[in-house]
Amino acid sequence: MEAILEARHVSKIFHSGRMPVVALEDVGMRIFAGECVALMGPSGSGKSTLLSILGLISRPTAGEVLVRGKPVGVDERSRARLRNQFFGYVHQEFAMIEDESVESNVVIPLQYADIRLKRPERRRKVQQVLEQVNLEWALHKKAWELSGGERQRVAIARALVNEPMVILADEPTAALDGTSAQEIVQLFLAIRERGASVLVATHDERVARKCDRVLRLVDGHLSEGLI
Amino acid sequence: MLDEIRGGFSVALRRWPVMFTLAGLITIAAAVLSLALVDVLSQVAVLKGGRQLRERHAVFFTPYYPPGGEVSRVGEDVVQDVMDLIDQQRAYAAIVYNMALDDPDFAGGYPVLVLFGDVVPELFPELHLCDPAPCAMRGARVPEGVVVSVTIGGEEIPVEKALPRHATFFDVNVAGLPLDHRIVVRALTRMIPRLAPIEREELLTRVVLLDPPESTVDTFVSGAAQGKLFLVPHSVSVEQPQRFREIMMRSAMYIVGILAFLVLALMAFVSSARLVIQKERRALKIRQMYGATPLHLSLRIGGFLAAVILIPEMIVLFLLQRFLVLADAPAPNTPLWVMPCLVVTFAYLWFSLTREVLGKEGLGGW
Repeated sequence: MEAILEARHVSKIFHSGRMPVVALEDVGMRIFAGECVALMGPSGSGKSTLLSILGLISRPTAGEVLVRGKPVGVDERSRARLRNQFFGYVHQEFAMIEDESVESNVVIPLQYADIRLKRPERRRKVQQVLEQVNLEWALHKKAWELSGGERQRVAIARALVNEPMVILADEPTAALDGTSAQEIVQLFLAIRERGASVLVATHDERVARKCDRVLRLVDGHLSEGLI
Repeated sequence: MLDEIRGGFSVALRRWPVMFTLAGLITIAAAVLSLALVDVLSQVAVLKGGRQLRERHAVFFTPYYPPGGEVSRVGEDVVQDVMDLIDQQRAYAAIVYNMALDDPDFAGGYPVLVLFGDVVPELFPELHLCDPAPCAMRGARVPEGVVVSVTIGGEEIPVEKALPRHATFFDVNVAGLPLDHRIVVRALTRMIPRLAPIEREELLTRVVLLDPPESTVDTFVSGAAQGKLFLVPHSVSVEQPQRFREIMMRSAMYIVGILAFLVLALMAFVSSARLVIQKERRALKIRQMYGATPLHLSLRIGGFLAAVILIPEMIVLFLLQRFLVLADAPAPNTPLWVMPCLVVTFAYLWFSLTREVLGKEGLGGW
């Protein structure tokens, strides 16, 4: 079975200050279609860095990332196109643009898609995806008017609007109460049911337990593990 | 791509109170600076134009009009003396404003400058005036064929060719007189007696005597006064350098002050633009995650900067330039000279902020 997303011998070294900081060292991993993978590890273990490299946001110091078996090129335009078509991102910190409406937030991936939809068509897709996360009423609300859980659901709606193959989620439940966190997990499972893969970096073992596999990252080294 | 530029505009609009104030300050400073430059450049033009006249110890006159005065009636003998002086190349005269006031179609409605004296081309060689008189030329921006000829004192004078672009006549009273939209006529002294009284009056007030003995000045002033035209003589070589020094000093101080204000306004904008972009970093990162290329982000940042530092200023400066052209101001293009200063600031900010946004990749990824 072919992996839809793969990291081969990926290392990342940051040069901040005098000492280089090794965030990832010779990491290799594969994600297959329709699976949910939890990435666990202590703070500073390199989870976010690995997600950003796998999501083509940043580049590895060494090694390569393969999407559907093909190495990702260095050209920024083709990387941007892949980010748009292939990935959906849910990030704790970069969840929303606070002073823009929910619609403006969710429509972003459609604005950079190769196929440019007309405005009514874009709105229809945004409404559809908001219905999936039970937020159809929030279309014209400003992001700052929503609760933490609602914002995270909007972020998930945005991640889904382009129908990506892989959802990369970085601590999506960290700032949420138990009920909201549960709703988010249910949404991820629903995404997986539709055939997309989910890679979720989390501290929360309840989230990890719902996934098919758990990967553990410690000091930049990856290992397959059990809860 | 247009969406990105529009998005950049909306970033500025979302913070309109601060951005509007900054844009207003920069626009006002840029407009005032360009007006100050117009002033200085016209003075420089005066200095340059006055050189020949200073060397020839030119004497010019300013009229004094007593209250309730009518058009003067200067005696024919005084007019004849002036004509003789002009013919001997010891004087020249001009009509700038009062030519054919009762005929709006005169010279196709364009303003005219009528010059008397064969010494004029010698004094102002940079104008490349037509020769011999009578002859006429059109300003560089007067379309060819619109004014074929002008009639002065019953004589038809053909309009031959165009003046150089931005040609400016040094008028001792007016300073620089732009000629781009004017018809310039070199007339002969024999036409003077046939001029209307108001035209003759202006001509006499604009007489410039070259190397005149004191007695000539006295005779002219007293003769004119007898005809109720009161003239005060001034020596170009004595009065102008002093006047110019004062004007230049004042203009320089003015320009330095305005320039400092503009620099301060720009610096205030630079620091608030940095703050805005820092706050927008999250939005830019989200866009980058979902497929925005460096070009997209750069256009968005450029749109924001242009909305505050470029577009309002350019529009105002352009309108100011058009106004100065229409108003026949000397050096009407100075507003365009302030533009590069704004473009350089815009380019610097655009480049540095884009690099800052795209180049940040720290610990913790994303």
